Amino acid sequence: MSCIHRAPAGLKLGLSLTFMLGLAVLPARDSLWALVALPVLLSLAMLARLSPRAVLGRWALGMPLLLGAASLALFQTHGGWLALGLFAKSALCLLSLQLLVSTTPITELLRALRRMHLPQLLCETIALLARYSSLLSDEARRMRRARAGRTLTASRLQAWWALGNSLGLLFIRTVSRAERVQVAMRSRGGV
Amino acid sequence: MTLALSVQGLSFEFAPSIPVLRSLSFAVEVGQCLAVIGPNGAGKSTLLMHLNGILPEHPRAGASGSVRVHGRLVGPSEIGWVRRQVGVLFQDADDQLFCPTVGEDVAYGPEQLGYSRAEIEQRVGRALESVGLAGFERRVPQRLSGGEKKRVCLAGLLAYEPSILVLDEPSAGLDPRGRRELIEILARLPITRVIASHDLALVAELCPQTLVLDGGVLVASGPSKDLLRDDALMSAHGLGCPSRDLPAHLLLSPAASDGP
Repeated sequence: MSCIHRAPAGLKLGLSLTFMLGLAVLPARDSLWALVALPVLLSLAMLARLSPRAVLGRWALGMPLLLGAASLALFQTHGGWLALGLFAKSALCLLSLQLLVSTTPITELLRALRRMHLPQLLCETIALLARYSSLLSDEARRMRRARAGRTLTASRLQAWWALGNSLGLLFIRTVSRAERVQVAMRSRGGV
Repeated sequence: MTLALSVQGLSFEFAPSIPVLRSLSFAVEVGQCLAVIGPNGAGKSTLLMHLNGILPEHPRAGASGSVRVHGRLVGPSEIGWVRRQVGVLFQDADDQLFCPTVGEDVAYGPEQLGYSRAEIEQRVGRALESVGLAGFERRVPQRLSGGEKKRVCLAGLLAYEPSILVLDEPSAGLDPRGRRELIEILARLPITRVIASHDLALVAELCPQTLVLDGGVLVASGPSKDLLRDDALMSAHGLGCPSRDLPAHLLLSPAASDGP
């Protein structure tokens, strides 16, 4: 376990929030200066001995959303630079958040958030999200294996079609699971 | 003796130093019905997923030993052929049913094999009829009962005519009628079957031979009639006391008594 993993969750959370706040208040025309923080964040990821493949892979997953949000700036005057700056800042925010969650157990992170007086409902929502994302990934893994068991040829078209169906089904199962969880919570006095 | 399946020294671990299967070796003859029993976490499902190459998912995963289907080694180059030969029925039917209608789901296998539309429809009809669900083609899988879902999953396998069926807890979660119907269907199938189950009555009824797995180790194998009557062995591996829990006629049933 690296020294970054061992650092107090509150300290890491505070630093991350300060960093993101700093990026948010950076004037639009100076946005690209934020990129100087990139080598620092990558060095921290290396220091934390995170797998570069996992870090870059997860970072890339968020890129389409960031690109979509940044492209809205294209409709303004000097929109190109604005969009580029917005994209750089949000990509750095995403990377810093990724560093935070990869090096801090969710229970410690929640404790730190509660100490910062984050509303209880929000804390519970994050806790449920963490709990059920692992259940959901487990469910997705079982469905993938069941699909693989009946995949007889290497047809890409069939594979994509089956994957699309599975994802739709996973969504339906997620909704029905959420309903069952809510009923179980209500049965024990929840709202 | 013609072997349908042959497993030699199979070991597997999901994570380093957490072994799930430890040096398993056994063989299944063509047409045989073999039971794999053991407590939760014994490695039964993991073993079944090796039989048609679902596991190991990554070539670098901690697996050693070999699995052969009709003499051909299970590996990336043979995977299509192996899956055509070995159909797997998963424990949770909802994992296996992913198409909007029963007909489309049962047709998923034959469609990949390039049959004509008429041939696919014929196969779907035949498979559904063999599991007692004729006319269910347009039904929505999610609205079926547990027993019906399980039978649709089975039809989805029978539609492409595998020579070996591997079933993971086929009777789990079924009501007595659904369970009875499934047992009757499985008893009628003239192909090689490997059944992992906690349902010792089902094992006694269907499987002349049994393997007992515990902690990833093959602790016993032999005729079901001998193993199921060995209360000390059964209770030592979390399987209760069949001679007390099962009706006597089951332990004397043709399957349990006819071991080679």
